Amino acid sequence: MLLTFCEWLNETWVSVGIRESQWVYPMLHFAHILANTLMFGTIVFLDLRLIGVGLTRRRVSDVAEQLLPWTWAGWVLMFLSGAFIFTSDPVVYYHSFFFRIKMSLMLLAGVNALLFHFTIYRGVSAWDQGVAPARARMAGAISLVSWIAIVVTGRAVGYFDR
Amino acid sequence: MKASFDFAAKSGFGTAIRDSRYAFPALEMVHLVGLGLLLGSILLFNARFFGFGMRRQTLREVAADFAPWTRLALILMVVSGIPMFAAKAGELWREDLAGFTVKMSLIAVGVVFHYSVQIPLAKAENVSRGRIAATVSLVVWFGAAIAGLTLEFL
Repeated sequence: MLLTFCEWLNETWVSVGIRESQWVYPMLHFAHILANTLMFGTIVFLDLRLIGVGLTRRRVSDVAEQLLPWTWAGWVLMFLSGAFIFTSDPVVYYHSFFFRIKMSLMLLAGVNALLFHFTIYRGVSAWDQGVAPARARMAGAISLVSWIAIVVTGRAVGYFDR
Repeated sequence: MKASFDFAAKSGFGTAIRDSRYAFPALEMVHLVGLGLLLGSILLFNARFFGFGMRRQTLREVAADFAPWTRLALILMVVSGIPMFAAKAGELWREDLAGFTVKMSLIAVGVVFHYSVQIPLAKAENVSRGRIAATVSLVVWFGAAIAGLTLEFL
């Protein structure tokens, strides 16, 4: 069913238009990588704070509250540019091994972030300063590793699966 | 300058990377992770001058918080960038010398400006001049990133 959708999408004018354009396609990649610096480049600092290696003099809530709007803005840009990049070659991405891994990692990162925010982060006032509890450190480590892996697999799609 | 490009292109180092299927992509992945960390830390440092981002902290605190990560990111970029240059030096010389020169010049300006102008301004809590400097910095760094992407994608 997913493949049928991808095959249909592949023939739409949006898909054909991006695929055949000389400028839109590289521009989308520019936007995707710059958005990545906004998203990855901000979430990383919350992860590092949770793990306990970066911004250690700051309260966890200070870092989270002040950086997450940037992370979200980056995420929206990533999603939009990524959706158009996907649209340009949906069947290729559907069959791509690294793209599947990347999407699975996104799911992992998303579930990890939701779990963190709705469970342990609720009680942040108890551990706002100093070392975060093990579960929070774990959430930071999972997030950091999965986002690095998302960047890596994202580039691998371009190199090995296209 | 041609001599140094030739030297890099013909070095065993450059040849080895060109011959491997995985070396160049792997270097580029490290470069991209470094880019995220570099532009993220530069962006958040600069944003503070305009009252965005870590606005509950002083300029001096924000400078100290991000300094080690900007430094680590620069190290990642240089360590992955030099072998990439060695592998592509010949191609760059023939096809993309202008783009590459622009990128390297902007990076040199960005690094010198960051450490000699911006860090002192942050330590002095100088917002008015800091804002001008932050604008310059953002233009220079994002210009360098876009020049770099041009080498890759066009």
